[in-house]
Amino acid sequence: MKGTYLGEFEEVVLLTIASLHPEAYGLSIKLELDQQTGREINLGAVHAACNRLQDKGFLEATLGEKSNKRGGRRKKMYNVTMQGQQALISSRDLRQRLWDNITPGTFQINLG
Amino acid sequence: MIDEPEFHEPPQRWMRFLEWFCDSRFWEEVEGDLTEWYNLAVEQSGKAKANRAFFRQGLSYIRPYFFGKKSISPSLFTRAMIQNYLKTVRRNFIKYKWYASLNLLGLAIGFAAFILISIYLHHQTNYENFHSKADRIYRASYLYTNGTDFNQHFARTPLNYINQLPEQIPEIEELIRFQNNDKKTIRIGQDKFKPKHAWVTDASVFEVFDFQLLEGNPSTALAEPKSIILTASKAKQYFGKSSVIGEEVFITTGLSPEEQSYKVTGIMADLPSNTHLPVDVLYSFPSEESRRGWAYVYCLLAEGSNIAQVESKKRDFILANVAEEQLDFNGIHFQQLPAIHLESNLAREIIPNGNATYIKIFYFVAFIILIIAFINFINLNSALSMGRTKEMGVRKVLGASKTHHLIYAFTESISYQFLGLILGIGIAFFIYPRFQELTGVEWTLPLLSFSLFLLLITITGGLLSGIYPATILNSLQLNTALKATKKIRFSNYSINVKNLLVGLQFSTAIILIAGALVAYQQLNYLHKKDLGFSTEQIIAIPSVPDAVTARYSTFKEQLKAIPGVTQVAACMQVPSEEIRDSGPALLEGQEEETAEAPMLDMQVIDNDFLDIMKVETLAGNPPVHEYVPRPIPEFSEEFTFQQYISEQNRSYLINKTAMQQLGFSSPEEAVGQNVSWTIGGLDFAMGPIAAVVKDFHQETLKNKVDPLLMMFEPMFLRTFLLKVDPNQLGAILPELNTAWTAAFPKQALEYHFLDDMFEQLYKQEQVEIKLLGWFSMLSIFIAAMGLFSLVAFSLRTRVKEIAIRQVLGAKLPNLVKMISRHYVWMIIISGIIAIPLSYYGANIWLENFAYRIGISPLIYLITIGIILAILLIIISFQTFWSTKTNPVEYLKQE
Repeated sequence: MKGTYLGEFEEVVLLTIASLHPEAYGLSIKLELDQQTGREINLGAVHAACNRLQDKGFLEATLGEKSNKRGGRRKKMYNVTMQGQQALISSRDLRQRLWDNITPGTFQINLG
Repeated sequence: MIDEPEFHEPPQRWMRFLEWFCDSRFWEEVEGDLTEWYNLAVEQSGKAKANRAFFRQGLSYIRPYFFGKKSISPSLFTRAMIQNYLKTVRRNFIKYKWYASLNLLGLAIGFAAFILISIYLHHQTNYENFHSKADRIYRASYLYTNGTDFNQHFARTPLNYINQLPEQIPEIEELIRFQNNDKKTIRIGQDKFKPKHAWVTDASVFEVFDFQLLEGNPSTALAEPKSIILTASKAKQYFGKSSVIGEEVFITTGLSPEEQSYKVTGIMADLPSNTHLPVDVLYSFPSEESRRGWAYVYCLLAEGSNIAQVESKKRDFILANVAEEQLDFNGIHFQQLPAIHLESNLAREIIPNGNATYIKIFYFVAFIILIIAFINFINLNSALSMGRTKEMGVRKVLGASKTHHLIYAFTESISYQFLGLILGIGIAFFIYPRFQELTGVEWTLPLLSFSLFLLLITITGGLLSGIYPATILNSLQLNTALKATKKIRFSNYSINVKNLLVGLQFSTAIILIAGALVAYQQLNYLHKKDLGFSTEQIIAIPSVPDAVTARYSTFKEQLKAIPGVTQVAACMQVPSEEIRDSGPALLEGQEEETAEAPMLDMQVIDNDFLDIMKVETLAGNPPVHEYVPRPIPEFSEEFTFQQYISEQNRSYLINKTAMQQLGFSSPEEAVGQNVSWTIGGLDFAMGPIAAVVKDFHQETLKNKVDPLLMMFEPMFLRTFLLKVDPNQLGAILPELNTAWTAAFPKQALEYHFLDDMFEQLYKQEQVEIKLLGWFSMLSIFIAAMGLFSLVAFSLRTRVKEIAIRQVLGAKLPNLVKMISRHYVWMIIISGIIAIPLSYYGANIWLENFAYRIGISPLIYLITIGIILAILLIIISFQTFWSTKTNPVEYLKQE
């Protein structure tokens, strides 16, 4: 029943998680996103995206170690699943196809 | 890690909220990451900044995804379930029809009262709302100050230069005068009428006020002199037909007894009743010169201007027209049109104003009545729920969650509220005609928004009153609920809530009953208060035309000749109406000290006045004149009116207040002293004080007795007073009419009974107090009904206890005593809270009256007595009812 559509923000989060592997959990994702996008991303948005991706089967999660600075809570470590990889690849392929379809010279007018 | 950094706790309030808000499956992750992030943020940028940033982070979790499904599953709202609930509600209604109907009736009455009060309040607070430019229309009132402490604020103004306002102050676009200084008689064929609100006004009146013309053209209707516009109802009354354009009418005024012919140029729709400026007839000024003298003056501000701009130019405007030393006498004030009804209350208002205090009282009363009705409903509803614990237990076993119970309770309370509302609307509809008759209000409420408002109240009321029973049921343990027979022990908490609610009801009932009693006593006091004269069996003929001056003696003799008329007197201002003429009085030898001269009201009377009114003399010899009045001479350049006034021999009567103001300590001391009196260029000759009379109340008892000076001057006798034999009234009136028509063929006769005129002064109060009485009675009734069912229910839960007591020999009085003890305590506590509040409120109201009662403790004793009596009757009745059955019957039951 769950949709398998990959939203734009979700795609970014998914890629970030892959790039952080194996140290991807809520806060580290957020901090990485902050840095990469150059703006402050809300934790709530990250958590919502991660859990949605997990619901869709693109992510799997394991619980990490407890730590004091987390108020005794465990980290939820994310890992991209096979389906996640496939979704990322097909998304990239789609883009690539679209890029390829652009007649050479189209953008140059604008750039010039 | 060697350097374990300090641990910072994130804002706990936020965390607790988020923990509640977020579905539990997210919480561990969310809490962990948020805490870690917070610690990071504190280290990087300090606590304050971190806290602010945390707020933003916290907000980002408020989205449906994190809220999750909680316990609200879609199955909670299935149709079948709601249908089942409604069915249960219906069955319970039928099962407990007696209590349920009482419950419903209480609610319905509450709603009905609330609706009626809303209609009343909306009417009172939305005066002039049909004038689309009302916000830009200002009335120019006139504040007269004479340099001493005397001042008088008039609703109308005598300043003629006020006509220049639109020319000299550009913010004022239009100025409209309404003049109605003397009573008019309108003659159509042989019929004569005296319209109450016949205004001479400007042609552009239709550009300022939304007077809707049914026939005729607003831009030309009053453009020509001698044009007249009638309201539809007056046209019908005067002509007996509705198409009257072009017809001729004849107008006579007090000042010019010559008849003038006018042509009907328009028919105006009758105005709604929510206006301070009622209109029967409008007619045009004969010429620009007649736009002068006393007038109600309204200014239309240009769009985009405000009154502050006008106020800032006011002083310059006045100085452009009068000398600086005259500034004090030229107070011009502006009142916005919609504010006039409730906030103005100046001298010479067109119709009596409303009173903002009453509006506040009625807001309060409406609120109280709704609260009482809701409390009733909550108490009864929770009592009813008590009898249904088994049902709830079974539902629980079958899987109903707390939310289900809540929804059930809401379904029940909201359906009751709706039924109550519908019934209430029915009751209000039924009572409305009588209510309208009493208060004179009209339905002005916008139907749609009022319906929405009622709906909102109903639903809010339903939710509020559903929470409590639902909480009780939810607090029950499953096994208790199933095992329970009819005896459920509630926690102290719920008993306290019930006590609080009943206590609140008692308190509000005390405030309302005591308030109504105080108001009733005050009004009664005004009625019984010695006015200082007698108004019984006196017919007053006010506004006699000026032509009487020449014929005063003959006309008086004619009136005396009517069989059944025992005495005739004349005066200037009819008793019950305020005296408008006030001026400084100077004692002989103090003529220079005009600044300190006391201001005395002046009344003109003839020799029979004191006698007919039974005014008591304190000292001296009352006749105000000893000579037979001579005919008034013709005035000319050589012998002016002013000269006549100042050369006439005079003697004066004063009242006790005037005597004190003049500085005398006893009436005897004052008699024989010489005094003179002045008003606006007229100097009345120095003359002796012939007598001092006891204070009498010329006008409403809301005001204090003013210092009064009386004299004789036939020119100013405008009112005749006839003492009549009430048994011959039928014969007197036709004779009176004949005599009148013979003397004043062109004017219609107007007469009143003096006691009616005094009664009229308190009409507004009487209406308000009657309303207050009604609504207090209603609220007591609702509260009593609630108490009735509450006691019934508490008895039901104690039937066995009572049965055992009975078997052991308790008699009815013992039982009543036992049951009522608790309630009596509550009444006492409520009294302690409510009495000071009520005392405070009642005192504020009483300050409206110059002569008022003190609030006696007796009122509160009576109030508490009434409530106790109602309580005892209810409890005795109920106890008697439940002891009628053989106690064995109850004891046998499981």
